[in-house]
Amino acid sequence: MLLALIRGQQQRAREATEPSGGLLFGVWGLAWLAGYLVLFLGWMPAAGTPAGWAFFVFAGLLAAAMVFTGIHIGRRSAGVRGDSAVTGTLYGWSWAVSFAAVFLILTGVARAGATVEVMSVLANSLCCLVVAALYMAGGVIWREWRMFALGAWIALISGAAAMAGAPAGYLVMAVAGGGGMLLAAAADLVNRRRERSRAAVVPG
Amino acid sequence: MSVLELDPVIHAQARLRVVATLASLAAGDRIAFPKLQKLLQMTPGNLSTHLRKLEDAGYVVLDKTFEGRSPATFIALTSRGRYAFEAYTSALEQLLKGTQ
Repeated sequence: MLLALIRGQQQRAREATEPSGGLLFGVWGLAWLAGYLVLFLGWMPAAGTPAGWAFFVFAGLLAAAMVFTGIHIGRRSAGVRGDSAVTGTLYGWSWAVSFAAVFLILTGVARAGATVEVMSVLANSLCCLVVAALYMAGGVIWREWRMFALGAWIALISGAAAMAGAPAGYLVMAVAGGGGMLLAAAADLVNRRRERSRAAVVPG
Repeated sequence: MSVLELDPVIHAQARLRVVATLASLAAGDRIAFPKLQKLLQMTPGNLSTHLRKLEDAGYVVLDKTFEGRSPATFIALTSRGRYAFEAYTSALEQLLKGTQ
């Protein structure tokens, strides 16, 4: 009984102080799946680019996922200070700095005279490379092999999407990218259930 | 192993829950008093009493600081406290094995 009490309390404490990987993977998986699908369906063959409204919906979905992530992490980490807060802050800044660099690079490449097709392939590849590398880094920091594997998977499929070109690449991103994240979310859910029942079953 | 060998500071159920909660944080982390109180669902007075006992035993440190202008207290497990908690849980596990 005492051991169950200890494990139950620790489980509760972790759920109140640590962000839920499964929840975040799920939200981003849905945003990617729907967003890239919209880019694929909004493709205009004559213009060689998705329609403006498709980009608008895509950006809106990603922004919504970003806001959700910020609120979720903010709520969970509120009231906890120390080493892990420092790690989290630095990790957050690496996202901001990396995406600022991506924006500058894309602006530079466009100015250098890149075509619409080059820009669309490069923009997606660079963004996904940052996501992939930082997921892998996060996996290393928090010893979360699922997060690391997801990062590695995103790196591979964004390479494949670049090879496939537009609009097929968007379909690759939607199904394999968004789908991969949803799979990771499902795995996390199953794992959490198992942990919870283990905490409840312990005798004594 | 007998029950008498279990650490009396932690063996009180309320303090065991306090220490278990603090031990679930990463080493080097501290938690704000209101958040700890909410996690444990204890009254402030009750929690303060238990924290004082744990502090006297050298198991926790209370860091009194300011958040803007309002005073705030952050609580962390000391390495001694973490060791005591681990020793306590492994003693419990041994006990359970003995009864099976």
